[in-house]
Amino acid sequence: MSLVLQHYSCSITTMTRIRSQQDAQLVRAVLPLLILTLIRERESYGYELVERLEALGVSVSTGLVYPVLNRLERDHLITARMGASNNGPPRKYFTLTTAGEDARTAAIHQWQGVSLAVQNASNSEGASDAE
Amino acid sequence: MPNKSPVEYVARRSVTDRLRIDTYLMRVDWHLEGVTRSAERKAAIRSLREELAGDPRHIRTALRDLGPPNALAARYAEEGQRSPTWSIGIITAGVALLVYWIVFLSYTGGMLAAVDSIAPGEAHSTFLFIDVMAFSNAEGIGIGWTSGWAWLVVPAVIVTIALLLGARSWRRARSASQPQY
Repeated sequence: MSLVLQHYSCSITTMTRIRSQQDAQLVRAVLPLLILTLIRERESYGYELVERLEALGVSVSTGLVYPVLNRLERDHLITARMGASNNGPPRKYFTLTTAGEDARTAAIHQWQGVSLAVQNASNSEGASDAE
Repeated sequence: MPNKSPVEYVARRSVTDRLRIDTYLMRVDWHLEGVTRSAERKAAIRSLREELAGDPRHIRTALRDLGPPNALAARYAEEGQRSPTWSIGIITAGVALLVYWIVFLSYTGGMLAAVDSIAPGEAHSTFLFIDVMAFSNAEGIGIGWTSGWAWLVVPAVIVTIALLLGARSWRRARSASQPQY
């Protein structure tokens, strides 16, 4: 009995680990699009973006966001300027460029394509289950 | 995962905080050497420094949120870019040399203690190809070793191996053997 329980608990742990890895990969894949969209709404600094993502229900760390910001800035999709803050040292505020706007539009189309494919696959799966 | 504790805003970074940032960024820089080009690496460090300066949280929280330096560096990694980390190699070589010296001096110190306990007397031994001696008599005590080839070659070999392993030098051969497009 205890052996069965132990095996069951081990399976749950493995499933949880796989699930969290999948979640992390999904967040990483969609992070550039989310960041471009948030910056398009209004210019923001790094930690502010983390807070805004949290408010949207996407749990990320600065360790995930900063490398993405660095890559977007390197590819000229966003630009940065140092701006004064009321309660601390100057902050690096990011703004979307024209190239960033185009990249965002392309990413949205990509995302919609993937989303549609998942939806179609789920629908056909549901239909075959019903037969 | 981000830290969920309430954010306590910090107006100005203290000297200790700046030292913590410098130490953290130095470690990130060591790891970045192996995964990005030099210009990208400098830009990443500059950008991180600016972000950390503007982060309103306590520096401990901000650094914890960034994660371990090697993991953060891996997130800056460029596709397929893997080169030797010579900075880490040099540090590894330095540590290996220090460990060699500590072990060597402990060995000779142990010999001296043994000889001193049965004084007057003299003992000869070999430590990694180096002839070592210790003596203790009415005139004094002392240790000594010969200055043959092993005296230079043994530490040099240890340092070289530590440098090559620490720097992950095989990456150079691997990147050279990869086809260029």
